[in-house]
Amino acid sequence: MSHVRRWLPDSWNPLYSLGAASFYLFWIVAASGLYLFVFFETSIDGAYLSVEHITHEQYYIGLVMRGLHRYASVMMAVTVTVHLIRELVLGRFTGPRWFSWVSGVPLLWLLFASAIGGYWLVWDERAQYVALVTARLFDALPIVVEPMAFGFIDNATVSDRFFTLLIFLHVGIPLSLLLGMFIHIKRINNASIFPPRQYAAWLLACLIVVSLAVPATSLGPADLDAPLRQVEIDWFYMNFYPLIDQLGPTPVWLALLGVTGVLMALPLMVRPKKMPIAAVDPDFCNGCGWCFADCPYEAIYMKPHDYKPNHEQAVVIADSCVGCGICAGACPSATPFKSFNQANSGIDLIGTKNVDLLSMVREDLGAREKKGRILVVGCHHGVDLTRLEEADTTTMTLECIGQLPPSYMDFLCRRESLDAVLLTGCSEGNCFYRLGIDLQEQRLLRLREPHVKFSDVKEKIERLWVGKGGEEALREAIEQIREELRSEMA
Amino acid sequence: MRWRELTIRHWVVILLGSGLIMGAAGMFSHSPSVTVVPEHSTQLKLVVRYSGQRLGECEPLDADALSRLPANMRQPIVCPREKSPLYAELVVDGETRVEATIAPSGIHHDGVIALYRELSVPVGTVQVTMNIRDRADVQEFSHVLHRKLELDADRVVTIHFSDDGFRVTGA
Ligand code: HEM
Repeated sequence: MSHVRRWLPDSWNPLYSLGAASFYLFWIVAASGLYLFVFFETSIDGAYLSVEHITHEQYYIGLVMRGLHRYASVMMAVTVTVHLIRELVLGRFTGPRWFSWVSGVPLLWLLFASAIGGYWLVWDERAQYVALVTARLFDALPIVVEPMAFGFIDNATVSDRFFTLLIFLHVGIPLSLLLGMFIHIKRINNASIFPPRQYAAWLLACLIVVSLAVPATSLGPADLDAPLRQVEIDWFYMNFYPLIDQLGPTPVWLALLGVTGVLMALPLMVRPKKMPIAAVDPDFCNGCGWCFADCPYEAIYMKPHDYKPNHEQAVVIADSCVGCGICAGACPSATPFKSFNQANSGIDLIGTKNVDLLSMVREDLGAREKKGRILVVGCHHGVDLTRLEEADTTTMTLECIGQLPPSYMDFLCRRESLDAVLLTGCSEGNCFYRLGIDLQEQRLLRLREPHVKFSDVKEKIERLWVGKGGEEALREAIEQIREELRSEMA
Repeated sequence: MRWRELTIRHWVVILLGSGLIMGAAGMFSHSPSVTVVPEHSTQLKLVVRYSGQRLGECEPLDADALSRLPANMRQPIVCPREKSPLYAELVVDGETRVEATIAPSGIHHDGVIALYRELSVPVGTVQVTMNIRDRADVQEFSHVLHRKLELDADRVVTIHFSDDGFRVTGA
């Protein structure tokens, strides 16, 4: 949205890199955790005292490391939760995306278990609270023979070995989380797992500042022989703990399992909007593999060609295809130069063929005065382009901007003497199909095949990635192009 | 995007936004605090860990029955496995605070009987009565604890019940 961009650059918009930020925060937690692990002692008194030592007697290094460990975890709770909400709101959980969605849900459990386990290790009063309430939660399970709470009756019942178990869990669960994170992005091509650099650097700086401003400290040492009065808890992770105390463990279990069940079942409950998927035409597929490289959802693989010897052929995995059409934009056979009637793509969306859209644009252009003609190409997830049509401006709306073969721009500018092309779509870093904008940019800059062939054509192409709210910005850009064309002609 | 391309307006938003988010992180990662045991009260823990009573009587096997068993299983006495549920109640100053019937663990109900409860009780002198009935088919309580306890604000009191009977710690 352009009005947002005026206030915040796209690369700084935290909503556009929530998954990547979650990965990044995980690494910060892991690195600072490794530091803490070196100095941590796995014994009843040692646990508390070693963490106190790290916090207060290491010239702020330990304090910052502990702060990074805590606050990066806290931020991860935020980014992961907002990531979930965002994917939900954008409807990106049905159809072929079910895998990313369903594999995301267990990550929530692992994340919470990791964090709560961390608070337990410190063996301060907060840890005592965690021990008592967690025991209450697990003791409600019908499979429990001896209550977990028997391990925390008084100071004498806790042993050093317990801390060895805790540290094992606090390393093991985050490692399973990491494994789960990699499974989560398994079906995504070129997943963005590192946020834009400036934003990443700034985030780290912010975490260091909070670590110094609000030091992550322990409460008093745990004492099971004395009653716990007031406990400061981390509301990002322990938000449901007071409920276990207030309502009892059963309703909390029902709520936790209920929410998890609904999230898991969501892809089954909501039918995806029927999208035309991609199909390969073996007659026109030359086996170059560019569509295979570009597909954002790994929905294409290559096999030996059905009948052309020594050639390969692309195959679409129907269950994985989201119907973005980026493959059609990557197909070199789509070039209209060879002979317009032969401009069939080797791969294309079923129903809406690229070449038919091109015919329509040609017809439309043909009906307009051959001077100062502008073509605006966009996608169904950005501004409604029909509102921008004018005597000199025609438009073409695709499923994704990555669906546009660069040869179309070469062709229209050279053969149809089109004067300018304006590409638009989602906002930068926020392509609905993840990679459309990046791929098209690389094709324009000739960093990626297929690319724009002619330098003069390249000069005629403008881009403005503004997303849904960018109508005004587009109007301004079109006006500017008009002026330039006018002054060129004069 | 380069650093110097950021405008003043961008910086204002970035600083305000970061301040807000990081402020919330610093704040809600440790406050508000929760009250576990209110003032002028202490915690009373109830710990029951009891082997339980078998429901039926053990019976001797006659020579005939023994000879029909495999050699390694010839025990002269057979005992039924299932144990009786245990009833426990705790009365503090005339008020019943815990009332529970606990089934022995295991699918055959032959395992240990275990119960854990935490409650807040006012400090000072309290009269505590704990009644246990370890056989469901007998009306009377099998074990009774009747005791005046001096409760201290900074000591947790624990009432244990096990095969050795009652034991109170912390008071
Ligand atoms: C530790 C927690 C998580 C991490 C680190 C994580 C990370 C990521 C990353 C890096 C991507 C790829 C983004 C891209 O390249 O555009 C992604 C995609 C996705 N995530 Fe997560 N995620 C996590 C949790 C979740 C949860 C809890 C859910 C929802 C239940 C979820 C749902 C999704 C979905 C549906 C996509 C696919 C988006 C698409 O197909 O366009 N994720 N995640």
